[in-house]
Amino acid sequence: MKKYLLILSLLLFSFISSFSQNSTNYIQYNNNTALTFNLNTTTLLENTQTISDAFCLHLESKSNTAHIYAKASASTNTTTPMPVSNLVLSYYSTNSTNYSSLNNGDIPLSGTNQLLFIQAKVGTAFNFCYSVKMPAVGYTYAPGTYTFTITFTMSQP
Amino acid sequence: MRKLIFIVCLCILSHSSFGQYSFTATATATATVSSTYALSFSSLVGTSSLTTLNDYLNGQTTANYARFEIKSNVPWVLEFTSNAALFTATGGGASTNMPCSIVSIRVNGTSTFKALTTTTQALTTGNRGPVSTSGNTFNIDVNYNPGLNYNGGTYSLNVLYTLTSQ
Repeated sequence: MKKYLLILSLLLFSFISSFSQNSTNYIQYNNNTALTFNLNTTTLLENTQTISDAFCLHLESKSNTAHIYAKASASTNTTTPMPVSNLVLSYYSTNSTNYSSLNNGDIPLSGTNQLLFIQAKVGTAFNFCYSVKMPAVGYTYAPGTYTFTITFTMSQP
Repeated sequence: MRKLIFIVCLCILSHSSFGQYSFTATATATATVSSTYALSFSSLVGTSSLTTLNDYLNGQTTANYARFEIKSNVPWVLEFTSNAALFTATGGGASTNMPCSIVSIRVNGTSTFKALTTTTQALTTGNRGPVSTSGNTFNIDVNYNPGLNYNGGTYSLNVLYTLTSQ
């Protein structure tokens, strides 16, 4: 019985440790401002809204080069679903000097991962900060609250 | 013991076989859209004048008297009402008892005029969308039919248009 427990524990540990973040390989989402857009006037509906320096991705990748991706999903069930492409990430700043392939244009989110940047393996944590924009939504969407989940993935090939 | 070594090796292999590691972080964003609508009114004609006997006997229609442009993120209704039961008369001898009901309004392109009253009436309805949405930009026609019961003069009346959600 003990043997089986040991086997199970080892397998479980092996499986979990394959996916868990650890002290030198991790990504954290730190928001500077709530990602909330209140669209309650014609001016707000007709113009792009920007939350400047909305959040920072705090990450460290000591083991290997890290590719950072973003994707989003919408979870609101309304008669006029709002596409996730209405959420746009825009690079704001970083304190890293060891990155490449930084997409510093506007990045309309989609349901599939899009590369934000590549961070070289370094034993130091860095911040990559972004603004979030919502292009003019116009009069297409019914009143209500539309909720989006943004998923950031740090992948070490 | 051999079994245990085998299992440990299996675990190590299992651990390394994933090859690629990925870690995730998530954020939630919300957009709250409120009921929002706006109405733009522009007069295309200005003051209407009734100058012939026929104007008084049969009434006079001013087509495309004014233009409305509506933008709304909810289905809407445009209502109208007269601010007063009687016209304000100016000029010597003008009658002070001309009722608002001598004026009727319709959306250009429709057939039925609706006479003004001090009670709110629906003029037309429309759908969610900008001014370019079908039905959200339209002109109105105004019909004046005072008959021969009132003296000559200048008469004015305020008409209130109200845009609300359906």
